[in-house]
Amino acid sequence: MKRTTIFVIVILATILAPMTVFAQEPGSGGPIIEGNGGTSIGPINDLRCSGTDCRAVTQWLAVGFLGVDPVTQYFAPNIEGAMVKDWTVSEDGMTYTFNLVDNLVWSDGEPVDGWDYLFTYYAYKHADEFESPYGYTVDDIDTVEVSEDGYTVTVKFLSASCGVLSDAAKNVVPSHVFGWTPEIGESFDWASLIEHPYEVTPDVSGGPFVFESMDSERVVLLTNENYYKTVIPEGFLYVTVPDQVVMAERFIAGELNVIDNPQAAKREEIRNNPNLQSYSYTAGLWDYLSLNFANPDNPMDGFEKDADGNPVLDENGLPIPVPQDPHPLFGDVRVRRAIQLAIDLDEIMEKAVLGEGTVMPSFLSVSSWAFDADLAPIARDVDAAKALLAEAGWTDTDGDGILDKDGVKFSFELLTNEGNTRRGQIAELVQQHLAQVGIEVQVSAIDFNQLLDIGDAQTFDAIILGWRNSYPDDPDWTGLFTTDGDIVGSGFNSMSYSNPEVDRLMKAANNVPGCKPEDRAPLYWELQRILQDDQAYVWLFNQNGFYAANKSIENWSPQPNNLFWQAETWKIAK
Amino acid sequence: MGRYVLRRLIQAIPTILGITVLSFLIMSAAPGGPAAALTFDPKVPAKQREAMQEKLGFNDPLPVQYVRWLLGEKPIKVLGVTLWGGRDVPVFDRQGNEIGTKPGTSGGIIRLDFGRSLFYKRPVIDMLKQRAGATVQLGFTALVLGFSIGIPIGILSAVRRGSLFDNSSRVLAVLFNAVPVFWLGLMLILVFGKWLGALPMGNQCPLTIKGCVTLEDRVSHLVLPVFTLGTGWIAVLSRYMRTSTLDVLSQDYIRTAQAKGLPNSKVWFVHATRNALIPIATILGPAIPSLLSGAVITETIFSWPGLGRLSFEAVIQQDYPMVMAVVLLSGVITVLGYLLSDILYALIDPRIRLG
Repeated sequence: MKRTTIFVIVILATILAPMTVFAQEPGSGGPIIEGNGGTSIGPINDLRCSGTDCRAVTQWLAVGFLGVDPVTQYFAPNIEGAMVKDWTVSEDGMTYTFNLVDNLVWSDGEPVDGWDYLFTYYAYKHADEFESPYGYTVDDIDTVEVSEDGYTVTVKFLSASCGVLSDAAKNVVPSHVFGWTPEIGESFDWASLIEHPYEVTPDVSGGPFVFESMDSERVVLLTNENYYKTVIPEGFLYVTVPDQVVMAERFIAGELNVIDNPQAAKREEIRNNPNLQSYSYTAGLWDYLSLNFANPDNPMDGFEKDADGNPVLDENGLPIPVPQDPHPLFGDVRVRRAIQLAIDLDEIMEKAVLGEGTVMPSFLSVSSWAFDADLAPIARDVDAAKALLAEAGWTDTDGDGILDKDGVKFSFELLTNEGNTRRGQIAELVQQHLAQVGIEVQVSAIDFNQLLDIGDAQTFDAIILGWRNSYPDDPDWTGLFTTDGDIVGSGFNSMSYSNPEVDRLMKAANNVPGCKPEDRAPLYWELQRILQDDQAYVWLFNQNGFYAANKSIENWSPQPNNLFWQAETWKIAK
Repeated sequence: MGRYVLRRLIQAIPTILGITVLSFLIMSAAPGGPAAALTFDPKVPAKQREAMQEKLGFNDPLPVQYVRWLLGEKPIKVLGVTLWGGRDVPVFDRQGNEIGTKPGTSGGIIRLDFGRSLFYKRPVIDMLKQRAGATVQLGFTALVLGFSIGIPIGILSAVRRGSLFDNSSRVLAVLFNAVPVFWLGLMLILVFGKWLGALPMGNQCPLTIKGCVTLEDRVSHLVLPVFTLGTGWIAVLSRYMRTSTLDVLSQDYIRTAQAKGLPNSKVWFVHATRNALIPIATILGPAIPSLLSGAVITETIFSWPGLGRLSFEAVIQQDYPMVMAVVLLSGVITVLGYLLSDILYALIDPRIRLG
């Protein structure tokens, strides 16, 4: 009898325990509270938002067209919450047919369908008319067609480039809110988006939360009860906390319950705090030291141009490089390699980010699917650096401790942006390390906008700056390392690096038929080796990403580049 | 008095215009510009980056840019006569080629149109309005705290010259004057917020969905930032008041009042204080614009959503419309502050007549 009773209780407990989870009411948990490190918030309209501040809010309101696999960090079918269920690609790789899920609705009950996607596409096509910087993201799209039922979208691209999926992946906004109908098509008053109330009160949402209010210090979102699954947190609070030190302290004290990338100095304290939980990953943020390959007194575009200023292309569709006047110091690859060898990256990482980083061998992050795991970073070797410099003709003939050649001292100015203590520290350490091989460096920290202008003008010797990889991960860095990006005044290949093989490979890797990562990766491995050999940059390190949350949050399961993975299931004590 | 105020206000117009011209020139002369930062993404085509510079009008000569800020891009017509032709904004295709123009839409300062923030894309006037209240609330409360504590301390220090109270208040005044605001703010947050948990660590309202519900919510959030900002005022005003009171106390009419047998409290707080306050009135005028500029650090540390931090960031980003709006606002407040100072001077000191 007793045994039977125990058996029944165990069975009942087994059945009922999960039911308590299922019975969780929408909005029954406490709110997610995150700090905004900026001062204000831009437009909360995904079509016009261009900063991390507004993106932090729109991510909860707009619906992602394509889902991203949290592990590969690349587009994948059947990702919950995204519009696209799966897709097929035409043989020529230029037409994608996306099948959409039919279980998503906006918070006002209207269906989320392909017509919303079409409106979003048209909007980007007319981005200039409402002051959005994202018009270029649809440049490769030729046409978008929607099936009558609204649940199949066919996108025809102008090329078979592997970047087209990124172009197609848009956060979709509710077209009906703007009064758009398919009959209106492109002849919509796009300029009206500038003044549209959706800009500051986006009260229709397709995400887990709906907009409630916004004032000068916070944005409040509440549970979307029409979301396709139960949303447990009662809302999301995005609060302005401009000082990074204070933000970390307020998180530790429990006022904020999640934090994204607190300063490195606070991470150990957070890891050791029993009331907090944390997560580290290799982030897509990396600093680099760019040496100018060309003479800064004679900046010139890196390729042949026609009368209209457009690049003249060879038979392979690649720009034809123009020989540059080389930089008196850095035009020689042996010198650039010597600088890489002279720098102690371990010390730099330890001092600049307290070890919270990963040394980069070339231009791709360790976390990228295209990263070449067999390519080792260049280790410090001061003797080898000195030997290379001597081989290049740089010796200390006058005994003043600074190398010279033909009467010219090896001395240059290293620029970085003021106010960034991490980069300031990197610059000072580079200065110290290079002094050990007889190179004199003057470090200047200048205004960020001024630095960008100098970089664009290509009138610098050396610059320390950083890049943030796109998400989802796309290893295509055309424009940064290819000849067509060497445009004085506006190109991103400001160091004037040019290697026709890199131009060819970068194009080939971005146009592999089928675009399967496993087919593209070997081309990127080759690129990483060439760019390492050429010392296109002096490679520094990737910063580690760091997320933390209060331990009172149950089900917290962040993924790389995704602090809020399945946030709708978080259970936060009220 | 009314005529005097009106005359001063009219005189202020060229002053304010002069301030805007100078600010515009200084800002434009600063190296760099916002266009590069707005398009700093390797995926943005080079021609589109160049187009952005042109679209924003940054390639035009400085006087043209200034006049456009003043008069706007829309034409000005009076009785059918075009006084200002405005500007047609170039339109570019997605390859960055100019394909035409469209009429500009900004009204310029003359039509009270401050434009849109280049970075936040929202109307500057809306952003200023949203934040002005918080700055006034913080600055005014700190100023009231400074006056209500600093002035009595100054008077008591003067009448008890050389006493323990006088010496300790002078030491504290020097100390609070010397302590950097950012350090004091962080210490207060650590002690009262993190360790004791007695007061909120920032913002205007509790970090809950409902925000401020009771008056206590608002007041508790004011305590630390007001104290941080107010200590400087207390220190400055107590020292001014002490010196001023000492001057007055040595005058004949005070000795006469004491000789007549008036109680000390009446002599100090009625006869001496009124005259000792005259120099303080000269501080009040400049104090008002400093409410805007002086709160940058306090607002940042305490996440106070005021104008100070917004202005600071606008200058760093070279967000021209925002910077110019803040400069104009500061200019107007400064002029009004000094005018108020003069009026107060006349009210307190019967020897002064405005006219």
